[in-house]
Parts: sequence; structure tokens; C-alpha cells
Amino acid sequence: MKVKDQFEHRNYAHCETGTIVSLLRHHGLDISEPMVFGLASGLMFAFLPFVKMMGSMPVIAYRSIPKSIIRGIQRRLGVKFEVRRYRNEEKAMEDLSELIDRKQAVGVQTSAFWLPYFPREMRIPFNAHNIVVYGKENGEYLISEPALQEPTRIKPQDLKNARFAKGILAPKGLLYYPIYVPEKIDFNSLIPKAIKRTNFMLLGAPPPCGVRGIFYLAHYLEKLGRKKDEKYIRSLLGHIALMQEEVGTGGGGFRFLYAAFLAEAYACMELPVLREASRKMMEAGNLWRNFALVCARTFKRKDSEIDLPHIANLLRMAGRAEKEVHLMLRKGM
Amino acid sequence: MTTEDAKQKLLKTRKMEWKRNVWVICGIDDQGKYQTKLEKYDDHLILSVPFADAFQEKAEEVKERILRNESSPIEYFMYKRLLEPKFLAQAMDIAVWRLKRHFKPNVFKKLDPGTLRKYANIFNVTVDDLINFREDA
Repeated sequence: MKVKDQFEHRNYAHCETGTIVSLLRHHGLDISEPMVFGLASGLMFAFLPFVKMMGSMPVIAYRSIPKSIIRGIQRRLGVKFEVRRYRNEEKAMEDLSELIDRKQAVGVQTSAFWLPYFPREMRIPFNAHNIVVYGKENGEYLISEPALQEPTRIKPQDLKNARFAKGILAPKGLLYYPIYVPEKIDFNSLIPKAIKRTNFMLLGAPPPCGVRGIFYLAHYLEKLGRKKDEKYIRSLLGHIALMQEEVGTGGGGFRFLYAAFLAEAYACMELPVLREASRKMMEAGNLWRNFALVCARTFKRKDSEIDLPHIANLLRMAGRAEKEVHLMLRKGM
Repeated sequence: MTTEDAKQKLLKTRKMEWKRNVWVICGIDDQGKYQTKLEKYDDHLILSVPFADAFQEKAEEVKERILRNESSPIEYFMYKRLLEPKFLAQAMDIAVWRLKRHFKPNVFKKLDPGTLRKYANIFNVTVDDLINFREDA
């Protein structure tokens, strides 16, 4: 395990894979973000109308639950992470600065509400945002934030608040860093396992999750006109577009990222079915994007007409395209 | 300042401090290399969090109620910072009914300095701003 001297900051599509990739790269394992996302089986879909988020909006997730990527990558790659949680806030900060003094880059889970470099209206109480702390200068921590192009700084007090925010998915001071990274990884044997797991998760899951969840959401949207008022429908559509495109998904609700993983898998394994699947996944991603664009337009232009059946049909098209890809992979692998 | 002006001002400050654009994968070649591009916020999609407008409206309504002495600055800043009672109560470590009690002007006047400091820390304002209610803080 060769640790690099200088921490290299880069912009990543997603916060959780982004922190893991930059930590692994820092420890000498050259791996790309789509690879980590695909190998940890991060792709998922879930629509939970009975669980409410901010502003009484339902939960719509395009990936598996937070922290599952950290767990998944350890199981697949054989990488070992030291993971710590704390009850005592002082102890947590002391441990962090001790690790930083040893020149160890550390991933921490934070709440977006307490991060001062975010713009005011993006600071919502979302507790599963991941960042890398890699140094200390003039009493301020140096932060590598996957969502930004440049590294930033944060005051210790703000970081402490962010690490001990309360509520659902509370971080509880979670920090993690790799302690063992294998020299050589045999991707050819790992890729089929990862793809099979993703297949199982998406095709086999009960209706509110997986591919069936997509059709359930389409059905829900179609029936929405009778139940709710116009204002709620507009903000729900805006919420869907926001969750899919803006909160660090690499576009198309992670579908582009997964397509990139399949393309990279083809480069490793030379199986024609992977290239075909990657191309089709890209198309499915474009359909998803199309759907989000119509949602966003309906949300932004308050005087426009709401055509719910049309929107639901766009979503069904995306769902069908995606289902085809997963069925093809199930047959071909 | 009208709400429209406030919105424009918000967008301007946002462009200055928030240089992040949306990171999108736009094409893949056969070797598995993918190209990315950065899309500007204005080009497509959304400019604000969907529920931000609703919260702003609520904050304006609360402001009028404060002037009529029917509510306290805590409720105003809660909506201004896009928080719901549930989340604020969790951050304060108190029950929701106790938080709602603090919305009453009489109770708010009697709050001890420690609690006020805790609120001020969450809203990122000074205690003085809370007591004298400066809305733009």
C-alpha cells in the first residue's frame, strides 16, 4: 500500500463514490468512479410515497441506501476500511486531528445543513453527505468536496456541528479511511458478481423498489391529478427532477454512471453483450433525462399546462428501456 | 424590496459563490473511457429547491404576524433557513411542542441566554439579531 504524498482533489459525480475513489487513489489503487459505483452495486430505484422528506415530499432514490457503497466495496474488492462512530464529540474531533497529523486522509459523513460553503438554499438537512478531510492549516480543516472543482476549507466548529447533526441517518461522527488496499485486483471475476447483484436488486425487488417501482411511480403520477392540487403537483415534479439531476448523480439518475461502468467492464472482459448493454443503458439514461426536463419545465413555468399522462408515458419509456437492459444482462452473463 | 427583487439578488449571489455546475457524462467510447461536461445551471433544469418558494412565502407571512406581536423571530428564521419544526427540534434537542411554545412572543421574551445562543448558532445570526429581529441577518 503506497500512500501518495500530495492529496489530489478532483470533481466527482457523486459524494459517496467520490470520497471512496479519492481515498483509494490516494492509497495507490488506480480505479475510476464508475467502476466503484458498479462494483458496489450502487444502482437502484425506490419510490416511497409513505416516507416524507423535506417539505412533505416523498422519498425518490436512484441508488441503494447511503453507506451501502462503503460496505459493498469492502466486500467486493477486499479493501479494508477502518470505520469509527462516536458518542463523545470532543473525542471524535481529537481523533480526527490526530489522524490528520499523521497525514492520513479521512472520509467523514456530514450534514449538508452545516456546511458553510454551500449556498444558503442548498443547505437542507440531508445527513448523508460525504467529504474528505486531508489536512489542517491555520486552524482550519482542508476539505476535498466532491461536488466542487476546487478544494475548500472549514472551521472546526462547523465541521463538528456537521458531523454530529441529528435526525434520520444521523452521521454520529462517522469517519473512515482505508487500512488495507490490495496491490492487484482481478476485475474479470468481480464484474459478473456485481452485475448479477444489481440485476437481482432491480428485477427482483418488490413494487415500490426496483424496475417495478418505476412503473409504480408512473401510475402514481397519472392518478395524482384527481387527488392533489396544482401547486403540490408542480413542486413534486420539481422535486423529482432535482433528485434525479442536481444532487450529484452524474446525470440521468446514475444511469449514465452505470453505462460508463458497463463500458469499462467491456474493456476488461471483451464480452459483446456488455458493449450492447452499455449503449442501451446510455439510451435509457437519455430517456430519463428527457423525463426530468419535462418535469423541470412544468415546475418552472407556473402558467403552463400540466400534462400528467404524457409525463407518465415518458417515465414508462425510460423504465421499459432500463428493464430491457437488465433482462439482456441476466441472459448474457 | 419586492420578492422579485429579492429573488434576483439571490440568483446573483448564488452565481458568485456557487461555481459548481452540474456534472454530466455525455458519451462513452469502446475502451470504456467516458467524456464529461459541465452544464451550467441556467442552461436547463431547476434554479431553486422546489419547496424554497413555499418556505419563503411562509416566512413573509410570519413576518407580518411578528409585527402584530403574534409570533417570535424563531419561527421566521426557521422558515427562512428552510427548516421544518421537526428538524429544528431535533437540532435543538427538544420536543416539537416545546419548540412551538417558543414561537409565542411571551415565552420567547423569557428564554434564557443559553437557549437563544443555541438558536442563533443554528440560524447563523447573532443573539442580538434574534432579540431585536433584524430580518435580513
